[in-house]
Amino acid sequence: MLLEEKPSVRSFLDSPEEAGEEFPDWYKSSRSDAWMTFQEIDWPKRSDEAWRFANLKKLSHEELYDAKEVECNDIDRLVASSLSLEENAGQIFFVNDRVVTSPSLDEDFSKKGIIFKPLSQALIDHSELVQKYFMTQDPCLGSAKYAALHRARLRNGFFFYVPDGVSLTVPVEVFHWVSGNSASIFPHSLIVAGAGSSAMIAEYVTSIDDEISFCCGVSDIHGEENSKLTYLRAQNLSEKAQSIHLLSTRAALNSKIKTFNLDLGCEWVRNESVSRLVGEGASSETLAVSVPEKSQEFDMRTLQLHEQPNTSSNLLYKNTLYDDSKTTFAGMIVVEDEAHHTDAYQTCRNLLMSNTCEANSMPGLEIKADQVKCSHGATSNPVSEDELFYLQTRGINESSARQLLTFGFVKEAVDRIGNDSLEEVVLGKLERRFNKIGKR
Amino acid sequence: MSADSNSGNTIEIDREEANFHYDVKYKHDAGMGLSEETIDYIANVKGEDQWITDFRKKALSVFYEKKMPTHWASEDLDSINFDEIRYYLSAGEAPKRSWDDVPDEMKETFERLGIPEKERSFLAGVEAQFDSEAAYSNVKDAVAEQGVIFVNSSEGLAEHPEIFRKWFGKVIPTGDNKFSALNSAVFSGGSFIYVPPGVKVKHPLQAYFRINSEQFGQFERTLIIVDEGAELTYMEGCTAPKFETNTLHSAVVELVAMKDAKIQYITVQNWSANVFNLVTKRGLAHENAEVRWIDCNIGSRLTMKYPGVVMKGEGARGEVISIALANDGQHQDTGAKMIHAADNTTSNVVSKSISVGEGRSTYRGQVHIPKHLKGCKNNTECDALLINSKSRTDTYPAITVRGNKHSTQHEASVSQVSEEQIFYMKQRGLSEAEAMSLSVNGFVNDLVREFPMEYSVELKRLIDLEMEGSVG
Repeated sequence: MLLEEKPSVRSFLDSPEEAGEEFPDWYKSSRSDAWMTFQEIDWPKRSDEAWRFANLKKLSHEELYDAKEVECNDIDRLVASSLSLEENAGQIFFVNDRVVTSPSLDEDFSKKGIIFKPLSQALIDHSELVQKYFMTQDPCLGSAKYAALHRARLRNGFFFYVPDGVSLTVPVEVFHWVSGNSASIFPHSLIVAGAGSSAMIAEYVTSIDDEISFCCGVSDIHGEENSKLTYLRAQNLSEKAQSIHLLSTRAALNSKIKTFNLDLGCEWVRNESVSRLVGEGASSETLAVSVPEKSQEFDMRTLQLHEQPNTSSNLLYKNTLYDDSKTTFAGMIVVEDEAHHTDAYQTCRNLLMSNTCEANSMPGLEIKADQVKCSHGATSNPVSEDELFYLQTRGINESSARQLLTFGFVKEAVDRIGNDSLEEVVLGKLERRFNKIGKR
Repeated sequence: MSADSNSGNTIEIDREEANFHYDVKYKHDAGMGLSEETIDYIANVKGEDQWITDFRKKALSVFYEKKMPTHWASEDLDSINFDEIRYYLSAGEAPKRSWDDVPDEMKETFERLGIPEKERSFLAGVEAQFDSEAAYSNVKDAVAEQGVIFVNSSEGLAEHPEIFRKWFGKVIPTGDNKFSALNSAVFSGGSFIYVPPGVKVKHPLQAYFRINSEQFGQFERTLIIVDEGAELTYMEGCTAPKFETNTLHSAVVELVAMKDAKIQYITVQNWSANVFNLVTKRGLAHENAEVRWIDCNIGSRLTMKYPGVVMKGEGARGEVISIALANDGQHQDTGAKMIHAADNTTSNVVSKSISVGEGRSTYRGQVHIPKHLKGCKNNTECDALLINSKSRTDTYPAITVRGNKHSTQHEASVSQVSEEQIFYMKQRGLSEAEAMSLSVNGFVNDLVREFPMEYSVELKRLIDLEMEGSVG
């Protein structure tokens, strides 16, 4: 056994868990307030429009507990077993929300004032800076209860701060592993890019075993003026896991934020992504690929919120559905009153690989300004017979041809990440996935 | 059009055309508010069979049980006060067969709308609904000779129960939504049409609806059955005078297309800006049948209308073509519902909306393809045009596809009239308003062509009217 468990079990629904003495006062009260908020808000109901098409039966938290501390004696093997970047500017490793082995950050970068620390440490070392950005985004897509739960119970995560004018050309990496039956983790990712800075972040959330687990994560990304950020998150939890992830980005004047979500694991996934464009000239690109199989159910809700003129946003979600899997995509573009000269695009494409999969698409628009260019598209199709036939005439057998075409289908989204090393990691993970499905 | 265009003096709607009101003495008036007594009153006046009264009462209890759909729809619905509405009014006279028998006052109303003189000769039959009851009804002999039944709803249920009872409330069950339940409780008026097998009705059948009494809701009920291999085009047009208080219009329209039949249902609607227009329309298409909804919504305070087609037989086809224009204070919440319930069924939705001034137009659609089927196809296109900086448009489609033997595509776009286009036309001597009007007409032109000639002329005129004063 790689891991040894230490006993300490408690359902996270039973009672609040106060912040430790070492944390700043604002954080302690934020945490206890959050517990109150969590209890006040109702659980999602069938009739909630924000949960339309969602199978709420899959979401039961009765048997879940805060993940226990585990001793990890072979972190290198864990890292080796997961695909990650060949070169990185820094790394932090978590197992069950606890830091294992000390975090690294390239010395040149730490000299420039870059902060890359576990959140538990950053809360103490940089209290004011963290407070300025911590949980400031409104969880407006239906999961306010889970946002409160996250705030009330989060144990760790990371804080990544790039000062004004500093550029990182190599990504930093964050690893989250979860282990143990009914373990719940609440990873928090707080990313702030100062004016004129640029950086890339890759985050992986993975199960070590095949047990039931629950991950309720929040990633908040703030791009100050003229900054440029790329954020990649790859989720590959166990087949029995449940995951809720709330991603929000805030792009200020002329800043650019790009996010990419890869979802492979979990019995049930709910991803909410809010891209706010709060400064003129800001742009955001929201990308996602998921490859559900068996009875996996992925529920994705997105919002592109244009608050200022001359902003642009682009969204591309690609789902390849096998077996009895089900996806729900609900996207919304909101162009506020004054946000003239907005360009906003939204595309969701579903590739249907079995006769029992189900794809729901709800692409939406709410436009209150003029001089706006907006469009959305949603398609659901099987692999094209013509394309299959063409490849077969070139001597490629049907199953290889099918695999090639599905790979090509998702690659369109991956190519838009625009960084070779990040793309390589994603493609590697996808290749493993398709090979595994192809071999069945 | 520039972003800073002054929205303060945007639109002064010219509704003079329909803005008039004559005093009509109603013989039967069920009074304000809704209760079991209202239903007894209606049943008594109409002399209905017991089963209809029972049907109405059951519907009333469903209406009370159902909540307002404000969790997804406009909260403006809550401003409807059901106690301040008259649910039944009737001049109490039998439907007229000859134009000469129609009371002068009513005739004047129709004349003003320009209905009969221009079109009577052109159209096969005119069934003009004046408030609750058909005041004028005339089916050309030729059509009647073919065995086509074209009557109002009360007459249909009383005289042809063997045909209409079978499908009545079957396409749209009472409990479908709160407003279909309301209609089922208090319906009066509307058309019942039966076209026998193989009969292709050459000319469109037509009915005009008007609301002519303050605080009075109109609840017409239409059921059209087109038998095997038969074809029918039905048109309705709506204009209503301006009133001080809100008026509720909540119709239920059921279409049944038997094997190989074709139905086209055409609506041009121009309600005044205080009308709540909450309509449930659905068609049932059997094997190889085709149901087409061609819909144009102008005016009203809030329109909620999502014509649907249930494709029940193999090879059935459903289509919704819709144009919506929302002006100041108006919300056009329209869309389409396509339910695929058999193999190789295809559906097509093309929707174009124009938002002027502070108007808001919404597309809301549903496409449903379950997994035990194969070869189903859907195409949906929604285009929205925003005229002023305060105009608003929304799109909320929901598409469910199960299995890998189907194909769906949905596309939507939002744009405005290009400044270059306007500049070009102005340079050729058109005023900005004329240029704008021309552009807007161009935007909807490919859909307008789907309407019969006289409607497309009327429609262009209506769009011109609505666009007046929207620029400058």
